[in-house]
Amino acid sequence: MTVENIPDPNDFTKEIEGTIDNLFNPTKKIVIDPLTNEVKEVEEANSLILEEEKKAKESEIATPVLEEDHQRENKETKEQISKDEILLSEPTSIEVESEQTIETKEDKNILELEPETLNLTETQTEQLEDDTDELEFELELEAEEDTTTSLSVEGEEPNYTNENLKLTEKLEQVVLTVEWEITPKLVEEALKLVKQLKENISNEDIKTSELLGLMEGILEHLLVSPDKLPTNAPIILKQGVKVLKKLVTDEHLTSQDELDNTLDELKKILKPPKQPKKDRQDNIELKTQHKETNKLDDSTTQHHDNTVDIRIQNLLLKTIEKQLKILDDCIDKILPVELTLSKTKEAEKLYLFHKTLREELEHQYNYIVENLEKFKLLPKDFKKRERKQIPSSAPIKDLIKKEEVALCPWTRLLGINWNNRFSAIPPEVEIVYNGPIPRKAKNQIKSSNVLELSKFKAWPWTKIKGMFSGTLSQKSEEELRAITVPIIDNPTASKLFGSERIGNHLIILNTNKGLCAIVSEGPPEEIPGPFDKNWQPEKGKDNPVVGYIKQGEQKIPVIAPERLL
Amino acid sequence: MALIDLSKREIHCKIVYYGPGRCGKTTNLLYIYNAMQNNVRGKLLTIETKGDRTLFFDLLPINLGKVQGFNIRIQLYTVPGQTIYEATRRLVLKGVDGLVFVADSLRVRRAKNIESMEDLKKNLRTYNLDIKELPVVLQYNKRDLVKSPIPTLSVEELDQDLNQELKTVAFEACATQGIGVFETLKEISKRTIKYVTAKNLLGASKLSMTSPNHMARP
Repeated sequence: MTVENIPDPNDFTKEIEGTIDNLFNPTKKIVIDPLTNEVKEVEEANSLILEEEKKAKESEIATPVLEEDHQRENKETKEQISKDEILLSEPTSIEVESEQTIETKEDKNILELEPETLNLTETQTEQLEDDTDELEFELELEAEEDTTTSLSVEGEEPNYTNENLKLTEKLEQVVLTVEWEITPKLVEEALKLVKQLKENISNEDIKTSELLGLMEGILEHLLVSPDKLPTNAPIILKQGVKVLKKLVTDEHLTSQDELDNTLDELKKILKPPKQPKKDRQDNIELKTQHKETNKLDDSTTQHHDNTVDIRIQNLLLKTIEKQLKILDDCIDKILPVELTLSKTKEAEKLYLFHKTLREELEHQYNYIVENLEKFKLLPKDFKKRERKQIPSSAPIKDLIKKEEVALCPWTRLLGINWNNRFSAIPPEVEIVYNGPIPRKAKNQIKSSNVLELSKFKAWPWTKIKGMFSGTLSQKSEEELRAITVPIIDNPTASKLFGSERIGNHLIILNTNKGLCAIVSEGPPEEIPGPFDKNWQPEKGKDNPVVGYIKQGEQKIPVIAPERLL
Repeated sequence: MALIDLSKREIHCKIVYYGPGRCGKTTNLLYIYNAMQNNVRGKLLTIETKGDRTLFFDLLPINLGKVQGFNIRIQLYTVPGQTIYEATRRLVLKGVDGLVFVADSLRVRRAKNIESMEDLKKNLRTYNLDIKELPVVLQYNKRDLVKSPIPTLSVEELDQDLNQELKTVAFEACATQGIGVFETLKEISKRTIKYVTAKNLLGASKLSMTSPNHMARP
């Protein structure tokens, strides 16, 4: 990077600032609902406001007496209210309503209650409570003062129902605050209240105690690991408290199913989603294993951990299913390419690459499926991959095999007149000596199956090192003199001539099994390929004849010399 | 840390909206996303909670296009405000280039504002960052409530609580209606780009700026 590429600093930043000024502007007017994050365009929002105002006006006209009563009562309330501060947690939603229903001291903006001087009639108190309910305040307690105490009806003897009501109202406030922010202190407070309520109510109603039991469970979880519970847990708790309040005050539930629905919602928070019977059984096994390995003392924590385990397990299963599908798709995509390559000349490497890749993917696929089957975790509707059929209905693998068989592994070969039979050897075999038979070695070659390299020297002082190439050229003179090489005969030569080494040329080969010598009737010559169409492989790993190539009428055996050692 | 690729001529900046729970950080991003030109902003990455709390973080990428051959991209992040998500907040702050501290104007949230500011400073220290050395813009949100009977904090009180040390620019805002949202965004974007350019690309001495936060209140 050269200096010329870096722009002038001041110009650069000025230009960016200009761009920011141009681009960072709203293109339309919108309003976001703070409760639901719902985005409304301003025109739409305005029309909604107008509608609400219209409705409000209509209701004003329809119930003027009620409104007057309401205002009068509020006026009375205002006179008696002092000290206790009610803090509003969702102010935007109640702003208009609060102006309509409760007059406040504008300078302080505080609603005050004075319990000592509170002298309301029962009806007035209920009305005040109803107002508070209607507003759906989400209250946050600044001080730990019992505001509900101040709302108690004077003159009544304290009894369980009354105490339960107080406790429920306090619980309602605490749960509202928990919805705002989950803190251990608040959750503990709520838990304490629920436990107290449970003690008072347990003998009265089974469903109410069940409700309290579930709420207790959720609160305990909130205390242990709040971040692992569903986010709507505080909202469901709030719903539970609402129903509880109705039960405590013997108020009619809005519908018959209200309690049952709430109980179900609370259970959902605590329990994992339903699974197929088969999976559930496995989960039970997993849970048992989990219990055995981890001796958890706290049953609540244990239940929670299991719930999390099951969720993770479900998530993992879904991920694995997706992976299987991807693997399946990949295999399907590779197959036609592999087939085409198998038929393409000089594309052996690419073909083998695709083949290996496909086989690895298939192996991986089968491995996953087998393991899932083993633990009975495969979904019921899972269809195991089947090998695709080509139009001729022959299995693809067989076809590939045929194509594979038809391929000759070499594109060139070395032809040798060996024991009176023209044969070929693979070109990768290293030739370390290629020349006439040394005079002193002639006798040994005729009478023996081995050849001592020391026989290569013409005179006692002659060096032999310079006669060899490749691996042998790196060995010392002494080492070379000590080497004895086996002489191999052509396995395809006629037995009549097999024992006769009529050639005058010697080839020493270095194979992966060691050195060997071939007596040929002349130097080797290259046979150019490819041989795909003329290639006929031979079976058997130990067979020295790997296969045959056809050249016109001639059938040339291809011999692997190392198999003769 | 900003990503500057001279060979590709790209500058990426990370701006984080920080603040206490329910102060309006996500609302800021939502407003920007919905009101901004479609070709400038990317897809808002957020976990839908239907008005409930941010669980992990929100991300809104913005593309400024090419300026003098440089492709400039800004990524806006929010953090979950709830105290329990401290680890996530710290994680989101990694590599931050600019900060918007969204403060809640509700009086009851005064302590939470201060607590969140302290939390921010603490988390920055884990990355060896000093809040005074980073571009920071304050946003006093929910100013529409000032006219309501609900107890709110005055700008002076908010300044005293949060801006005494920083002495940076502060915007009054009502994110639900978009008031002050784009003003905040513009200011932090300009400062961040300037800061990133000065620090990483051009050499601090070439730009006439002493501190990223020493600028007059608009």
